[in-house]
Amino acid sequence: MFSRMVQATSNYGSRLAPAVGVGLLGLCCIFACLGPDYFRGYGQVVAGVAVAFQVVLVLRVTIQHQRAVTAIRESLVRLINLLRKSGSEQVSFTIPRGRAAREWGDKYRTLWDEIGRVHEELTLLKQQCATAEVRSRHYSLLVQRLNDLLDAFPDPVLIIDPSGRVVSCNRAAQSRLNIAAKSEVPANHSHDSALVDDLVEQVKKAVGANAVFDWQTAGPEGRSYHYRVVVREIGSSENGNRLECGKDRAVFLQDLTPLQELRKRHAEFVSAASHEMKAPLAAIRAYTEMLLDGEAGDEHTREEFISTIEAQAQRLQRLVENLLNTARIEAGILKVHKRPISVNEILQEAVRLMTAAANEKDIALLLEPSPLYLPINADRDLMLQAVINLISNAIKYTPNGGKVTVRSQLQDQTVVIEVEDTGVGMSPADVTRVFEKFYRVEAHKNMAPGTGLGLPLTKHIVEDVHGGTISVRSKVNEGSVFSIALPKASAAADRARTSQELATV
Amino acid sequence: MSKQVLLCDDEIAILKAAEFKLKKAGFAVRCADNGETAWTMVCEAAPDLIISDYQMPRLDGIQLLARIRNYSVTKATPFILLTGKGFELDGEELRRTLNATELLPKPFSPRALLEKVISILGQPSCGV
Repeated sequence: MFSRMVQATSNYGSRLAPAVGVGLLGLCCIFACLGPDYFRGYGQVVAGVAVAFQVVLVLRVTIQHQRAVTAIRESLVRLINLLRKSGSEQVSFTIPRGRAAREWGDKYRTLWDEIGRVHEELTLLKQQCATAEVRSRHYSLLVQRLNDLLDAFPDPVLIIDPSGRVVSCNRAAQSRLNIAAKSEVPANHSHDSALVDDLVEQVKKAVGANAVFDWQTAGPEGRSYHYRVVVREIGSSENGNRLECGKDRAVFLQDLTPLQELRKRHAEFVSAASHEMKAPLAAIRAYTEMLLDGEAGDEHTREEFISTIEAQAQRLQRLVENLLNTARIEAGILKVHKRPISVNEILQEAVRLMTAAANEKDIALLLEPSPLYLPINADRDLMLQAVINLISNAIKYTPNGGKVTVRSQLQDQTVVIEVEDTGVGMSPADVTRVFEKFYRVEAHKNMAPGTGLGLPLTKHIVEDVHGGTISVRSKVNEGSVFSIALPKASAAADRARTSQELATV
Repeated sequence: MSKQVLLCDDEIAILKAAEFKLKKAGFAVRCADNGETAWTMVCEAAPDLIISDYQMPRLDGIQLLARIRNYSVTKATPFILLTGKGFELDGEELRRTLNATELLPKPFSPRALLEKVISILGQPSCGV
């Protein structure tokens, strides 16, 4: 556009100079032809001088014009550069001083107008660019946030186009379904696993715009995964420039694996709980029947039968207590009656109650109480249950002839209860999970019956109800030490706590 | 000579109750508190009847039964499986595959157990 303007200006100047020349030549000719004879002899001389003068004039005009054009061209070039480089709205420039500029200033008004319009256009364009840039940043941020949101989503989400190609997926989908994100461009997600192929086949089979089906498959680590797949058609049938018919499908995978595992563990718990109940019940029934049949011929045998029935009934009662307290915790109501009580007293009672069970396996159950009086602010029944659970566990997982030691000690202002056994021990992996509900160490499942409720309940009693901590150290084939740490009750606090405390946990 | 019965259960109270009942009836009874010990006893001297709990440490009742059926001496020895687990075990399946003689669910009656033992082994030679 600027080049064209300069060219137009140049043409205008080149037409002006010959016009002036021709005018002067004509004047000389008229003067020579129409003048008196006195002048005719010199007419030709004058005409010649006039032509020479004209030539000189034209040359001068042409040179001046060329200079002016050059100056304006340079100014325009500088202006263009300024406009291109400048970030400001106002752009100023200077036409060099000179005769040419002064003389033709008015005649170049058109040019200035043109420059003004160009400047306005440029300003407008710049504003539009700025607006577009702001919008672009806004949309980039929006897209980034959406991607971050999808990536933060714990379950896999994919978009599959009508041809069955994965065009977008989140991070969970990449890791779970073994999809490699080789490029930042979502459409270039590549996958080499049969997992995605299988999923796509299932999605293709799904009937209707919104389908739901279950999909069970093996994950990358060889684990079995159970997914609820929800398929939704999204977008229009004309997606961008793609020519495929049909719509994209968003595929949401809801991981039901933990739920399935929980259900399985729950079923195992019901089975284990029934077995746990049946064992003491079977003993009670057997001895009662023998008593009724008069099988116990002497007083000693009769007393032995009755004490066995008593022990088994207590065992059954402990199991029911565990079940009930677990149910109370789940329901959100567990009545707690705390009062200052001696730890050693609780340990003595627990050991007394568990001695029969230890004797059955020829296990030495030893009590090593601290010589100090160690008061804790605790619910006696719940704390007794917690300690009995630990001793019961230790007896279960200690082979015949082993040893279980129960001790108490004061460490700083913390009362520590330890239950140590010479049992089968646990691996580090089992140690981390042993307090999970229904969890049972796989390697020892057949060693002793159990519900997987005792330790989670004990942890809850110690930590949530009494504000203590429970921990375990264990070595396979050497044994385990379960430690309960509780804050020591102060004497002042002892006096203050006269009323029963009713807590909702 | 008294018929030999091998009892196996990790629940000592139940083990003692069954032992008392059968001994009183006149059977010779040996006891084991886990499957591995029971298997050792079987190898030492094959009993006439084996009564075992299902869920036990080290070697469970079905694993014990499988070993017994694979051992030529005890291939046809009668076997009573005691179990507190009702719904996981298919009695017919066990009878078919491992030739389990009886499946007795817990809690069981010692009287009923004795009747089953007598029906399998016959009356003991001498009572106590």
